Amino acid sequence: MDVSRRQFLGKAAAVTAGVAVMPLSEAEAGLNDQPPRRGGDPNKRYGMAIDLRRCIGCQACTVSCSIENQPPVGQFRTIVHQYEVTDNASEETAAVMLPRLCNQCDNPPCVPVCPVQATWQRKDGIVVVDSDQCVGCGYCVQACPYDARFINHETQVADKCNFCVHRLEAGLLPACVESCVGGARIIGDLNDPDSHINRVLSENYDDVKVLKPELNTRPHVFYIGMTDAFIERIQGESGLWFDSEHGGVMGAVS
Amino acid sequence: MSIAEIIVPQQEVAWLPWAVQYFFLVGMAATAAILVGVGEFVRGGRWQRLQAPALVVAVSTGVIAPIALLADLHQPGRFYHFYTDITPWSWMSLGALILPVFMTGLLGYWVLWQRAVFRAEGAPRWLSLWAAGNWSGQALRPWLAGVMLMGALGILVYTGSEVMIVKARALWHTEWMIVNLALTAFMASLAAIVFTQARILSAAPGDQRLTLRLFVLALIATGAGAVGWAVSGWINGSVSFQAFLRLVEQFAYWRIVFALSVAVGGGLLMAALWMLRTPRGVARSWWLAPLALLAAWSFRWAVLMDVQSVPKYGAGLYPYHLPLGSDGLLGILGVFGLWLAVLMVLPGIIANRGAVHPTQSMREVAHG
Ligand code: SF4
Ligand code: SF4
Repeated sequence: MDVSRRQFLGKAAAVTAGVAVMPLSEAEAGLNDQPPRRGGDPNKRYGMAIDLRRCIGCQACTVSCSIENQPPVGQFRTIVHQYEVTDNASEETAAVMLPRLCNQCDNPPCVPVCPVQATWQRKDGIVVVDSDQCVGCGYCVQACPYDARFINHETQVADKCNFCVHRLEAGLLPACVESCVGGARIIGDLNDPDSHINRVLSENYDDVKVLKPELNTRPHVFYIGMTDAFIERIQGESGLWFDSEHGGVMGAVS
Repeated sequence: MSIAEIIVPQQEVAWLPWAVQYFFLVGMAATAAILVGVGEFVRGGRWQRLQAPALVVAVSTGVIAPIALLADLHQPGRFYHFYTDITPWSWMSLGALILPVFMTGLLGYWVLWQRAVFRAEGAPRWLSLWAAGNWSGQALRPWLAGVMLMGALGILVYTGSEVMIVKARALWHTEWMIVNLALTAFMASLAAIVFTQARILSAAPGDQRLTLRLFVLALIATGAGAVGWAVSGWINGSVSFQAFLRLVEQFAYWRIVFALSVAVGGGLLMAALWMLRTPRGVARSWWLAPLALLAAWSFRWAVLMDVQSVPKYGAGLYPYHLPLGSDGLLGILGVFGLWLAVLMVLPGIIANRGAVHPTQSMREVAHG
């Protein structure tokens, strides 16, 4: 077991023990330190588990998110990446699906960079953007290591997944979770030892991974059943890009 | 195991070519202002005679830089949020405080400097208000020079740090980013001063020689900065240098960027050293200015735009097509056009006809 994995499992253990939130000291934040969290239920810590073994790559989550949150055509708060993986020895190929969204990191680098406090982390862990306050400087887009943010072409401000916080507060599931055909996406309160997500994470204790753990962002989207090759930058063949009138949407080659 | 991407979205650039223009202009403004400030405090006529061309460069770039900065915001009308919601933990917010301090120092200094020239030599009629009244104002000048110098250092530190702290862009994540942005800015402003002296102000050859020497020094320092980044990156295994090695290894584009940088930097240095040998060479050294400016500008393009086309998670490179409109080519050309326009008007005002030099005249006031 490599070091980063061991470190991560240490964290996963902490998560399953229900102490995921490391409350940041309310002391004054130095340059590029995390500022105090604002709003949200301090007793909760939302997280998402994504069981890749159950994902069929149907993009129902992508579509329902787009209907719910109305990003412009060609921009996505969540999308399922699709890869073709070939075993070099047997030449057998398989499709790998990787649903992507904001990780609601516990140490989110996108937050302290914002020059006007338009993006912040709530006490329940969700990182939100105030689209009336944002000046569209794009600094948070640069700072997110996961390409989870974008400048919305219509509003001209930063946009990203916020776990459908408006739905959560109304007692509903996020659109992507509700529409997931295979039941691959599980959202819940990591502070609640009996929550579904905590049960799933502890059942799959040895198989839980996050993206780029070495950056110490402490992502709170946990992948189950992910090959190690997907933890870091993809070493492989890039998709062929073709331009759409909306600025180049996706690559598709087969 | 080999992986091929089938469906992956492309991440667009979030910082537009406007950001390149801002970094280019503000870096020149800050470094030229440092030379102006040195002339204020260091005795020796040569440094003081450097002030006029350095002021031309500092003021002309300084007044345009904030326009480019504003244009880089996707919601420029909300820029006042920078001041209604000051955010002490954000480098960019800090920069929004440093910029007006620098501008106040620079423009305030210029106003007083100019006033001394106008009072001694007479002002054109349409600018006669500039010299009006009895108050000379020169006692304030060292203070404004101090503000300008502190502001200029602040600009160099904040622009570099703002980029350097972004861990998600491995290439940016090195302290050398601050050093190398500053050194290439010196290179650019000295090139612009060489040009201003030779082509606009008809400065004495001796003065041009000093500028050319400083330019050579800046070039050598820039080269040393690049080597320092590479060697320390090699020894410490810095993420920035590793990312660079990967790009050079995998992509022809980055190999070309690397080869061009070495060739242009080396070529400029050889040519400048050659020209330093004879007075004729010095007089012709302004030929180097366009290439040096282009080199400093291209460094910012590579750092800001090319690095944004390196996927943070995906394979390959995202393609970037320069739009023709205001967020692309038109914006770039517009900024340069504006700079040229200011450059044409400004020297006619700033140039004192040699009879009186403000800094010297101020000393006379102070000592007399
Ligand atoms: S995934 Fe990106 S946008 Fe989301 S919290 Fe982490 S750093 Fe911020
Ligand atoms: S784009 Fe908006 S939310 Fe992001 S850093 Fe800039 S002002 Fe803040």
